[in-house]
Amino acid sequence: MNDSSQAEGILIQSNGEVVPLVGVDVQADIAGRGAKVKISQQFKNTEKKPIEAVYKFPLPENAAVCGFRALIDSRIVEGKIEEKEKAFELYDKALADGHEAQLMDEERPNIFTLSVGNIKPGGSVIIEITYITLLDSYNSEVRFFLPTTISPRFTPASQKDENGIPVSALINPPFAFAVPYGLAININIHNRKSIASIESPTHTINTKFRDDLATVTFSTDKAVMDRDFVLTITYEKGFTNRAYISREKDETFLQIDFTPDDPPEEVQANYLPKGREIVFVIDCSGSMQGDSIEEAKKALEILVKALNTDMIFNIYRFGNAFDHLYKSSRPYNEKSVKEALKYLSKTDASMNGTQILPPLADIYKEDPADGFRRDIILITDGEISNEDEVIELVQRHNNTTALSAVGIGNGPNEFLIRGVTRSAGGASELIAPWERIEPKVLSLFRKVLAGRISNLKIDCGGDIDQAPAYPVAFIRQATSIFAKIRRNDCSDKSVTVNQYNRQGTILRKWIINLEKINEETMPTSKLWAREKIRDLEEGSGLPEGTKQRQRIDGKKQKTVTDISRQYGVISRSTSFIGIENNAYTENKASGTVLLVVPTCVTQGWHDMRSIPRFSRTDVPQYSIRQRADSHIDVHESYAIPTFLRREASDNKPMAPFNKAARGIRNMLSHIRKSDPLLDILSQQKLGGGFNINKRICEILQISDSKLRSIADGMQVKNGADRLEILTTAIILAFLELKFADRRDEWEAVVSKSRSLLNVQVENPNPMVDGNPLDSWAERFAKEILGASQMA
Amino acid sequence: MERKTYTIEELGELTGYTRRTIRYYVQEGLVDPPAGRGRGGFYYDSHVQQLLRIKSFQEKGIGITAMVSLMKKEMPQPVLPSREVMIRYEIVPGIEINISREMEIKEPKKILEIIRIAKSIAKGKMNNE
Repeated sequence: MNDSSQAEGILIQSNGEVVPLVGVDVQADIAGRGAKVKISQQFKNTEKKPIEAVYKFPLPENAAVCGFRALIDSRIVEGKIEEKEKAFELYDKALADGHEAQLMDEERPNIFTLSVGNIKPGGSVIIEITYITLLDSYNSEVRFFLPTTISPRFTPASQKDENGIPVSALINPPFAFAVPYGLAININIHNRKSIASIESPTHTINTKFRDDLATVTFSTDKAVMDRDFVLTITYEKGFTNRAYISREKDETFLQIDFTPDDPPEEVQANYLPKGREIVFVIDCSGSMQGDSIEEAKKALEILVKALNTDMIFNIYRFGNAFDHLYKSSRPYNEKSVKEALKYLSKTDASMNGTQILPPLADIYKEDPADGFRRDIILITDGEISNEDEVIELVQRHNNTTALSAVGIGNGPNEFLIRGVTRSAGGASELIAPWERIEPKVLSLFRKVLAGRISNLKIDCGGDIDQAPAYPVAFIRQATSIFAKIRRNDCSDKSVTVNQYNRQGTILRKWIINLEKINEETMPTSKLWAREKIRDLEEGSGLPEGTKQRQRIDGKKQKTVTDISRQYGVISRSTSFIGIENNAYTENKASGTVLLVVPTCVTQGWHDMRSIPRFSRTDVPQYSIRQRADSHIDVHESYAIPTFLRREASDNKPMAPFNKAARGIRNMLSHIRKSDPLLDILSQQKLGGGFNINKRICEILQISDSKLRSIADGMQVKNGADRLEILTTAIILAFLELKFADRRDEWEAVVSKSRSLLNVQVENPNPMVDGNPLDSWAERFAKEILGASQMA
Repeated sequence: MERKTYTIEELGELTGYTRRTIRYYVQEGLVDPPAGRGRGGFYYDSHVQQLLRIKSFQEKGIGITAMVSLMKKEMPQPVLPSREVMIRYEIVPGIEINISREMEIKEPKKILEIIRIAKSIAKGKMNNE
């Protein structure tokens, strides 16, 4: 490729431009789910004139950005929040008067523009941005997510300019194949005894343990900013319901970390419909070319195979235009699955633009059939700029249709994925290219099948302002709900979370004891303000199915601005502004040179900079899965090629880079072997039964002939396949015992196997060796596991 | 009469655009840069007219990206002033050949030959008539 190239209208800059950004440094502290992150960006002026550096960068979309300051030589300029246009005026005027000034605008909840004006010739400025956030969690795992690059967004021709400025100019930075600046991290995870493991599926990391801390850094000094950084921390214990009360200045706030368990069956029966319709929507736009489309197809194939025979389903694919497998959803059977897999095999990312609205509108144009609840599962990188329109559309239909989403790629648009699922009452998963897809997709599917827990209201006996006003929770996933107490008439002992049905009666309630906290690191007021601002900006503070979403109007915008200024948390209506009154004549006299910092093209975007699977030397690597209470410092890193992580393979792994530490060999041998759970699940038939093959016999430690001889002695109903019933019973018992900790991966998949078996074990239960089948299978599974442990 | 000038605030009040938007249009070349140095410069009526023209496009639902390509089409290609010095040779009354000085200096013999042949052709033709 020449110096520059054009892809989808995005100009990729040639190298050799003057780039004033020297480097980015991230310092984070994580305790449980809470994270406080400080990002330092250093700018240097190597020109002979004063410069204005403009840099567009991403942050997590749920971050409460609450700190902004500039370090100029030995001086500190503290930023303050102002209404957005007012802030620009102050900035512009300061620059015109020759002062140094800094401005940070929120273009989208995950895209920010920083302008650092009038950096003197030879001078440098460090910008420090601080945010606090509560990390996503599921069971005992939390996910620290730090985007480093903005992937080019597709802007539909119909999208209106914002205040007379084209949207693409607001959110798309100039792009380059390589940039001279890089990223360094230093992440402290507190209370190390509570940590079971720390891994990064995206980067090579070093983990050091000292005192109460586990500290994570990159194994190299700096990482290329071409992909999101993900750190997965697994704690010894899963999250449970917790509630905190804190008094800040003259106000009192509540924070409820709500992690619901499986509902009792009688409750589940009340709100889960009998029929389910699942519509898959797959993004086939140009930005998905390369790694992403392959990831998406694989995710979809897993999901299609996991459906149940009592469901109806359909598949849509879209780019500039869209098409579908069927005109309307059809029953799940052998014929339709075959057609679906054939349709998928002919799918590629050749559909150009990302017009996400038309396929969704096509699905919504008809209501789901009577007695059916419809779920859309969207698989995309989300690289669009009209997020608000999509959010508005799905919100209008969230009473009939939930939408869940899987975000794929090295830099998916987190705001779209989270925003759209938040508004549509769905679940979401972001999957980095180096993560195993199966568990993520299957755990999302489990959430989809179990259904959302919505219409949740905090009751503490007094008048409160709850944010989010309509939170949506899923079992085993922590969801935080905040409240500002308007009058001090609330209990300080306990709080109740009530789940209401549409008629306004309470379905379930959770009573949680309140713990008093005096939190200065993670002030609840700022977390509440972030949620409140989001409710107002996204219009998500409205009940399910509200037909007319109220766009943010002048009055609401003023409320957002007031909250933003009062609590010091940025919004789309406000900006951080800092001014250093140090005018010097040279600035005023000569004017400033504008230097826009280019962003590195996301790895794998449009199949650019996609990495050959077998020859790469710079593969992201897992850290050693290391028990945190061990006293071994872990410095060694090694490469695990993708093919080993993704699928069962007999290929030998690449040699470790460094001398292996204790445990590496075990881990490699574990990875080298195929995953027995996935091997079992892959043998499931459409009806729920299991095929028998050599691998299954090996896992169950029983010969094919032995299984057949036991099966021959069984009595089954309706001429059912004895061998299939027997194998299914053994496998279900085996999964319960052997893979209890990976239940999320298999539970949804085997629900149809349970149904198949239940028909058989209801009176009369087939007898095996004089025992009922189910209890025989359980004992058999215990024997297998006992034998393997003995061995 | 002194030419009327406006500050960026006044320009915003007259046209309804924010300071940020005006700066963006200047940066993108849709509006001329202010007179005077840097951001502290001032604006004329011509700037007001440029902004009102953009506004009229926007009122017709035309976005900036489309507007830029439209304006490019509408805009007459600038005629560059010629810096070449041409030497004029009259062949016969009514017919002349212009030769650039550069060419004449470079290939004097060839030029003379062209002129000679042209004259002979023109005269011959004239004579035939």
